[in-house]
Formats: sequence, structure tokens, C-alpha cells
Amino acid sequence: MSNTEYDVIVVGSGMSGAYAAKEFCEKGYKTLVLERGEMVKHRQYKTEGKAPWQMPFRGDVPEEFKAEQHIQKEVYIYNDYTRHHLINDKDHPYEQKRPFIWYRSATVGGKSLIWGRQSYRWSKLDFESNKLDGNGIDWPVRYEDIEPWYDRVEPFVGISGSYEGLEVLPDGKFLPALPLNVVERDMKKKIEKTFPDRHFIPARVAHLTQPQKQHLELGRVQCQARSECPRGCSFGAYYSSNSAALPAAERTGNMTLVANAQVQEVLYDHASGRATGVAYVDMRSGERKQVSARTVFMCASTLASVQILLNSKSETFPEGIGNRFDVLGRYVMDHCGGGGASGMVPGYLEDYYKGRRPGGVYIPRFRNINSKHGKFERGYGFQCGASRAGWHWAKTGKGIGKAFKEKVSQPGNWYFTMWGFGESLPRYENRIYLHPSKKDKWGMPLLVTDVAYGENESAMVRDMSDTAVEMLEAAGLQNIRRFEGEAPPGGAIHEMGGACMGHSVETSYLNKWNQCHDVKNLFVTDGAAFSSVSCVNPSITFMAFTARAVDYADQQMQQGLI
Amino acid sequence: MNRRRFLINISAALGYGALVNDAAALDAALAFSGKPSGFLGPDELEFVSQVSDIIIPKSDTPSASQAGVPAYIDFYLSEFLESKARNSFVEGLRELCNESIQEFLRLSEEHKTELIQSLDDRLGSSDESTVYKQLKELIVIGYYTSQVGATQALRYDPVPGPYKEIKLAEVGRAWL
Ligand SMILES: Cc1cc2nc3c(=O)[nH]c(=O)nc-3n(C[C@H](O)[C@H](O)[C@H](O)COP(=O)(O)OP(=O)(O)OC[C@H]3O[C@@H](n4cnc5c(N)ncnc54)[C@H](O)[C@@H]3O)c2cc1C
Ligand code: SF4
Repeated sequence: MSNTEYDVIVVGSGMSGAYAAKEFCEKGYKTLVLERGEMVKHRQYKTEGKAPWQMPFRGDVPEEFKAEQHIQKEVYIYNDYTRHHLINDKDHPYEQKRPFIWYRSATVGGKSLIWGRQSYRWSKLDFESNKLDGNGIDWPVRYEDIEPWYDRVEPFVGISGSYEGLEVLPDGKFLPALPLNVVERDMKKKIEKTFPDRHFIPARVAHLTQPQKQHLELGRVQCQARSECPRGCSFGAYYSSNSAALPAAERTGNMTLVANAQVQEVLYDHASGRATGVAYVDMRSGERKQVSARTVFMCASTLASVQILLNSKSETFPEGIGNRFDVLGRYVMDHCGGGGASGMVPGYLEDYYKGRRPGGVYIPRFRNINSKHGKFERGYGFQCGASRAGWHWAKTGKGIGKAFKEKVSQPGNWYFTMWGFGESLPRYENRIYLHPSKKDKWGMPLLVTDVAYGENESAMVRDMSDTAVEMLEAAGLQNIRRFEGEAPPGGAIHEMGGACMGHSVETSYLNKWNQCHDVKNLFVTDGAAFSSVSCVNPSITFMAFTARAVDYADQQMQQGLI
Repeated sequence: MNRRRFLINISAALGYGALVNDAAALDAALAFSGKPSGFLGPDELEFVSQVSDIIIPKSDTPSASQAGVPAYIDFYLSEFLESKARNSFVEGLRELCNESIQEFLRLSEEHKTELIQSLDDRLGSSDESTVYKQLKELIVIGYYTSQVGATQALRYDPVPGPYKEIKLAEVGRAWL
């Protein structure tokens, strides 16, 4: 059709972008992936396998670096082994009108390199909630639409999990589940007996417990339970873009990947009504470049994709490409969390384990399913696990001499911890926009975040803590500690919304195919597309939508419609 | 090693921008490996060494000083801490042993142990010594994250293979 340099441009190589690239490349499209981060090739992980004594400060990070990463330093995986996978906040500022923690990757592969690997399907209810309770805009998609795409993505990713037959947490295509340990098996019995509506199941995680042919072909092998995943894993045993989707795209010969490329704008041609390509800056040389393609896929992560779209201004779209009705940047959400509890499990002192299991227990949503809770809408799930205390207590604990040393050499009691992740509500007034004058050093206008939780989220977090304590009590735990943190949005690192899918151009940015209502060859398939957030970790669902949108774009291109 | 250059080496090694051969840079940065960097004077080093061994003595496994803990602490003070924090720590060491480190070194073994025991007993109370608390933390981290501490006093398995349940008796010690 047109004589563009590429068939497709994919912006971002994280969870969504790399998968889009794989799918397009396998269908034979010449695909350009533009990625802001530094190149990190699979198996070139600088700190992988390093023992603590091989690290200068045994894993601790000097203040100099924390100052450069004053936001990133708070993320729970931040240490001297992982910090180079996170962005330099000084170089990449944003403005918080209201507090928002924006965790960002510094590398090719995006946050897929450092994610927690928890992977759950959304349920029927998740897609219907906006319509049912009137918050946000109705999804133009239902579970049945996305189900076949989970079926496609999950086997490639490799997800370990158990078949439970729960409506609230549909089963997927699983590898064998990671086992519950002896303490968890007993807790499961007690909790499920006391609370028949609550299910205590193995976490579903993107780890190869039993690699299949398609994994082995990419050099991905069985998980060795090192639990050092955010450093990168040469076994390819957890899913990352770097270990799986990018090599799969690369082997087709159809992918061009450019790192250190900050995309600033999607280019638009008024005459044809199409996106013509993108403009980006080579972050090393500062050189500005334009590149053309038939189709553009935005996968730069939720906030970053919206930032680029808002900055894509033309005479037709002075407020950002496809944004005639001030919908772009609206309904930004994150999971609410911070509620939970922990406690000591008496006994089991003869029992131990070998290996650092990379996933524990999940308790799926049980609120507002068959009956109304009354104090808040929607629900939450818990990520949990039991393990024995190690030597760390000794850092601040009492004791000296041989007796102290002997005590430290033995594992301590078993502890069980549970953290809630809740579904926050979509709100029109929760938005992000561009700063009118401030720019970063490459000339990109800064993003301003104006997002906050409301009373529904506070009530939900309180309930999380209540039910966590109640379950630990039922399971017979001791010294139960109740958590009730109030981290600002962004803290759950499950940010979504901003370029929502919906039924009409007046109320939403994308149609049911992740396609911009007004610009048919422009797609957004990362979390920005989401009109609500469910309460389960979202990334596998980003991938399922991405796969579905690629399939649709492929058909449209074949028919010459885009 | 010069602190700035050291940090720059490390930062290059760990991927901040510069195109440096990482493995080599990291190794260079790690050249300290066990040798004191010369920040603490001989008496201070000896003091830290003796306190380390009172807290973590030799038993069926090596002591803290045998595991290189004093050198680690010396390195940590000179390369990790900001100068203010570093100076107040060294000031604090003197305060720990009632004015003079030399005096402490001349005490009998029993007396030294008693002194450390009394500092340790006050941990967590309103009159705990912050310097003792900090020193103990460094000793404990220094020991259990050293090769000796991790592999002998504890158990360390870099590639444990699939997760499985075992009885404690099969390994006998806590994992790192
Ligand atoms: C510590 C941690 C734990 C997590 N745990 C889980 C979990 O257990 N389960 C789960 O589902 N999710 C988890 N997440 C969230 C998960 O990582 C994200 O949901 C997911 O990576 C988002 O995918 P994405 O493709 O939208 O964005 P990313 O993976 O962030 O990829 C976006 C890419 O676009 C690039 N980019 C940004 N701006 C530009 C630009 N202007 N030009 C070019 N490129 C650009 C970025 O550098 C990045 O590489 C976790 C995240 C973190 C940090
Ligand atoms: S736990 Fe598994 S995936 Fe994670 S680093 Fe270890 S082997 Fe790799």
C-alpha cells in the first residue's frame, strides 16, 4: 500500500511492546521497536549469580545513587543488584500535583525484567463492574472476547498454577503449580473451613516449573528457585521480554530494535487521517529523527504512552492526537494496597525447605461477589506466603558469643504474611497532563500527575486489614501484626487508564480493538487502554489485549483498511 | 581507593550509561576483597576486631575476624558512609570504651566480654548505645554475608534447583 520505512512501529519493549513485536514479526511484518532504555541482552545480566560477598556493600546502595533515584529507591526490589534496571529520576523528572509514585524501567525489556511475575486472569465480573455500579465507562469488551487471547499468551509466557474452577479467578493454561508448603497446607484447611467463600491457592507465577518445547527452543529452562529474578535470569526461567518475546521476534529476522530512543510524538497527516510514524530523539547523540510506518502500536507503559500521545499535537488535534473530547489522560488508576497482616505460626520446627520459592499463596477476591459488602464497591485479593525467619533478626537482636552464634545458625519460627491488592475506582478527575512549560533534557514536556484515592479505597484498605487479621486468627497464628499503610497511587506499580477503551469517541480514547477512535492505524495496548483495574496483577492481561489487537490490525492491514 | 573514582567505577560496572567492560570494572572495584582500606587506625581496627570476635567467636566455624569482618567494616566506613556519618561513628567508638581504645585493649578477656555484654543488654532500651547498635549490625551483616559466614555458619546454595520441602535435619542450619 504505502511506501513506509516499516510496516509497524512499536513504542516500548516491555511486557506489552515486546509481545506486540513478536506477534507482528511472526506474521511477517517488518517491525521497528523503539525503546528509551539501555540495551540489556538476555544472559548479560551484570549482577546475576553474584554472592553478597562479591558485591562491594553486600547489596546496600550508597547515598549518591539513592539521590539520583529518589523515587525508585523506594521500590521493594531496589538494591545494589537491581538498581541499574531502574530509571534515574533526576534525568527523568515529572511533577506530582498530588503524590504519585512512578516506578520506571531503565532498560530494554521494561518492567518485565523486574516484575513480580504474579499472573492472573481477569474474571467476567471485572469487565462488567463499571456498567454494574456506574463508576467509570463501560468496557466495550467482555471476558469471552479476551479468553482466547489468554489461551494464546499463557503457554508462551509459561505460567505455573493450579486448576481451581473459580468463577472469580478463571483458570488458564498452566504449568504445574509451585507447591504450598506444610504450614500453608494446614492454614488452607483452617481458613477455607472457617470462611467457605475464601480460597487459599498457590500463587500463579510466570515461572517455568516444567518447560515446554516452545520454551526450550528459546533456551528457557526450569526455574531453579534462586529468587534473584529482578537481576535477570539466564535460565530464562521467569518470563521477561528479554528472555522470551524479544528473542522470538529477533529470530524471524523481521525486527529492528533501537535502544536509547525516546519517542516524543506520533506523527499525523491530516489529508489521509492517519498516523504516519513517530518522532524520536537518540538520547546519546541528541539527534532528532522521524520514522514512518503503516501502523503504530503504543506500548511505552501506561503513563508514558499517554504522555507521548498528549504531546502529539497537530492542527487537527491541538490537544494530542485523537483527543478531541478531553478524554486522553483521564481515569488514571492503580491498585490500592497497604492493608494486610502477618503473624507467627507456632510449631513446625522440624520442617524446612530447599530453594527460594518465587511465589507463595494467593487468596482471590471474595468481597462484593454474591452479596454487597455495603461499605465499599468492588474487592481485593491477597498475596501471601509462609517461610521461616533467617539470620536477619540478628542485625538488631540481642546476644553475643557462642550461644548467639548458635542461635543465628538455626532458622527461626515460621511466619505468614499477607498483602492486599484492591480495585480502585475509575474517576474522571484522576488525570495526567503535560506541564505547560517544563521539559526534560531531551525536550519532552514533563508529565503532571493529578491522581488520588478516595473514600472507597480507604474503606477497602481497612477491610483488607480486618479480614487479614481475622484469617490469621482463624488459622491459629500468634503475635499478629496488622498493616494499614497508605501508599500514594503508583505504589502498587499497576498503573492503568488514561487512554481508556469505550464505546464512543466522546467518552473514550480507544474502541474495543485498542484502536484510536479517530486515527485507525494507531493502537494503544499497554495499561493505558484499561477502563478499570480489577484487583489482580495486570500484566498478563496487557499481553492478552496486545495479542488480540495485533491480530485485528493484521486483518485490517491485509484487507487494506489501515 | 579514591571514593569518587570507586563509585564511578562501580556505577559504570552496574550499567549507568558508560560503555565500560563491566566484568573488568566490577572486579577492579572489588579489589578491596578483604584487605583493610586503611581508614581505621591500627588500634581502632584491633578494637573492632576484638569486639567482632566477642560477638561472633570461633566455634566449630570461624570467628568474625577470621571471616574478614574488620576489613569489611573499615571498607564500609571509608567508601560507603558519608563523611559526617563516618566521623560520628569513629567518635562513637571511643565513647564505647570509656574514652580510650588503648585502655580497652589492655583489659582482660573477661572484662572486655562483660563490657560488651552490658552494651548488648541495653539494646532496645531507652539508654541503648547507638554506636554499639550500629557496630553490631555491621558485624552481623559483615559476617553472615561473607563467604565464610554464608557457607560455613549458614548454608548457601546459589542454584538450589526446584523448590522442595525438606526436614531441617537434612541441612542442619539456616539458609543465607
Ligand atoms: C517490582 C515490580 C513488581 C511487579 N510485579 C508484578 C506482578 O507480580 N504481576 C504483574 O502483572 N505486574 C507486576 N508489575 C507490573 C508490571 O511490571 C507492569 O505492569 C508491566 O511491565 C507493564 O508493561 P508495559 O509494557 O505497559 O510497560 P513496561 O514493561 O514498563 O515497558 C514500557 C517500555 O517502554 C519504554 N518507554 C517509556 N517511554 C518511552 C518513550 N518515550 N520512548 C520509547 N520507549 C519508552 C520503557 O523504557 C519500557 O521499556 C511489577 C512491577 C514492578 C516494578
Ligand atoms: S527463581 Fe527461577 S526465574 Fe528467578 S532467578 Fe531463580 S531460576 Fe531464575
